[in-house]
Amino acid sequence: MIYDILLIATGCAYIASALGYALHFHRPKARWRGTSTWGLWGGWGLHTTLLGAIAWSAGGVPLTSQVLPSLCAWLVVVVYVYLEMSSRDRSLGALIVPIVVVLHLLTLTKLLGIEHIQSTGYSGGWFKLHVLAYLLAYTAFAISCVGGIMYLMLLGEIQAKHFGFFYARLPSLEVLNQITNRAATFGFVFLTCGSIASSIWAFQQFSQVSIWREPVFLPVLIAWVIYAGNLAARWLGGWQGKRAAFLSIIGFVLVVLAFPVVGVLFSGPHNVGP
Amino acid sequence: MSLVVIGLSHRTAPVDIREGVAVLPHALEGVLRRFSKVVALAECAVLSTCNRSEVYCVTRDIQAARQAVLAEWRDRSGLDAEALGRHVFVYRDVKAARHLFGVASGLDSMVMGEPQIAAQVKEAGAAALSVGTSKTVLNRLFRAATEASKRARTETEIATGAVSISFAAVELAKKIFGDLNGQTALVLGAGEMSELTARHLADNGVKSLLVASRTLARAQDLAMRVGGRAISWDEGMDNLHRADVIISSTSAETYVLERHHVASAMQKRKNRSVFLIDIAVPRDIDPAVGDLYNVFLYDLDDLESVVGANLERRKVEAKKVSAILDEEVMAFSAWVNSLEVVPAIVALRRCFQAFMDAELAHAKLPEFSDNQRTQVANLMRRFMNKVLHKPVVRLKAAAEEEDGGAYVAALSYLFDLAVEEHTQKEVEEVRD
Repeated sequence: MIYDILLIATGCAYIASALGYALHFHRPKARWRGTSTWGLWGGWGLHTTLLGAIAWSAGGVPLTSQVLPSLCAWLVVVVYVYLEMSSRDRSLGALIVPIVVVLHLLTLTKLLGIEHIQSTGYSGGWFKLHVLAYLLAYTAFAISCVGGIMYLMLLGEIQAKHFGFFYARLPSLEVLNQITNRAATFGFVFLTCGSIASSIWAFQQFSQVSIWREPVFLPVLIAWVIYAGNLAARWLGGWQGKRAAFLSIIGFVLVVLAFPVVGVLFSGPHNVGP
Repeated sequence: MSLVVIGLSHRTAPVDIREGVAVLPHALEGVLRRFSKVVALAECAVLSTCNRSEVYCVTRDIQAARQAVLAEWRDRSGLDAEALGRHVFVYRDVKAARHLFGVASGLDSMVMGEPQIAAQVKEAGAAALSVGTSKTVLNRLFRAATEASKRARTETEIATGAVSISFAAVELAKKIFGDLNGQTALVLGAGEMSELTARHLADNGVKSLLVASRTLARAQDLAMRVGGRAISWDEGMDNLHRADVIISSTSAETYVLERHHVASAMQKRKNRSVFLIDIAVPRDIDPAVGDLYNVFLYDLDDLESVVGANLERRKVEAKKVSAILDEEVMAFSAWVNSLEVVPAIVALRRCFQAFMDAELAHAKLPEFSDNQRTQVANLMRRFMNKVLHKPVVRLKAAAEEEDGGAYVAALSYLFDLAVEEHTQKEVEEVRD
């Protein structure tokens, strides 16, 4: 019951915040600014309480597919708040907070009405580390994708020499390019760390590096190859700006699609499918 | 008492009249002190810019106030008062407040939405306050005007978008590069327009400003004026890849920058963005350069259309600003109406104070020490304040709804109040 109340209250706060960000993006007003900020902070506070309550009853945060989207949403909020405070720009929130809402709604469908959340059968530092690293990696890829989308929207107006809606609201191309690049780089580093941690964990768990034969590793491998190519193109091939933005968007879309596709086509003990 | 503005602006007077009556900052205090001696002006503030000279005042006699202002202007400009009078406008009460709010928001400016006027209005209010010619009404008026202007600028796009070619170029550079502090700008040619743009870029903190011209002496001359470094034309062409912003304004009859020049520079820059501003007629930069990856090329027509679009947008935003100003004027007007009951409130308090003093004098309280008498007096004052609190609040609320007169009449009848002149301190006590 307590989970349901916290889940719904968190969802309401995030939805209010997303609406606030969207309205503030459309027309900056103090009241929308307040709604977006307080909604996000309030939602995050409730969200933290929810995760705390789950952790309390399960003896630790259960790193299951039921709870992972929620953890991911929680991390996205943390990273976004850092970005907003460091860049003093709220425009990214109009696209990032809706992602938080979607992730939370996904959690809602999995957790609503559940009395007790079971912990995963796995434990140990490497297991937790690999999950945390992957979450951070996908959070960073999502932010890189949002940065890329915004870059293209602004670039379109500047190249068309017709300054409109986005020109007045988005930060400079350089700032968006930096957000896209840095987020992709961080994501790649975390993905690599996650892969190493998961290999070590698999070796400890199954006495062999069997993770390579797991279907779930396929999307991770795809993501790793995509973002390795992405970073190589940026740093070595001089693919700055538009091409880099496209790479980030395509990379994230492929990563997002890869999980359900692999989940449907393959099965294994470490299923991540829908 | 009426709130009145007596003024002339670019809409009503030509520049020779405006410059004649304009008050420079160092002379403002003297003008305010002269106005403070005019009996008809209970309060006054002077707003003087290159586009307007306006005197805001609180007065019982509008005609006398107008005469005093015209006399001051006549003395300053040497113009005939009658001739001046033909260019003067006078607004009173709500219209006067609406006018100042519009001025502060840039609606009445020559370039709509220009930002300097908000600061000038604030300074005019502050100057009158420091000299002491701005009191209850004008203090509130100028505070409300500043607030209205702030709302207009944050809640609408009245002040967004550059409205001159050089500003449009700099704004665009900022939209591409963000902070200009780390950027290098290269000026090709030493024309007037490139000087203006280079100056704006320098003001916005470009790291390095290079000026190249076919005549080195002209490049040196311009570089000195804008705080840049002069280089020869060939050196400029060799350094294309170092420049993030290139402004070209030569008098050449053919393109000075062709596609292969920029393509080669982009290779050396590893495709980092470059912004090219071609403000020459005929054009200096081959339009095909704009097709290169990460190259942003804007010519004079492009920048002019940007400026035109910004001006059009400001006109559309002006309607939204008007709606905001209506709200702010309504709030100010309600506050002014509430002042109508201030004399009655002061008289009511005086009446109760007199009852209290009389009763204390009558009781004498011989067995009480001075300290105890003071305590009793304080007790009675607190009791009086509590008794009067709700009626005063309701009276002010009624006055804000323009219904104060009937209540004032009823109070005067019930308590036999003599509504007399009141001191500034008494007004301050009951105002908030």
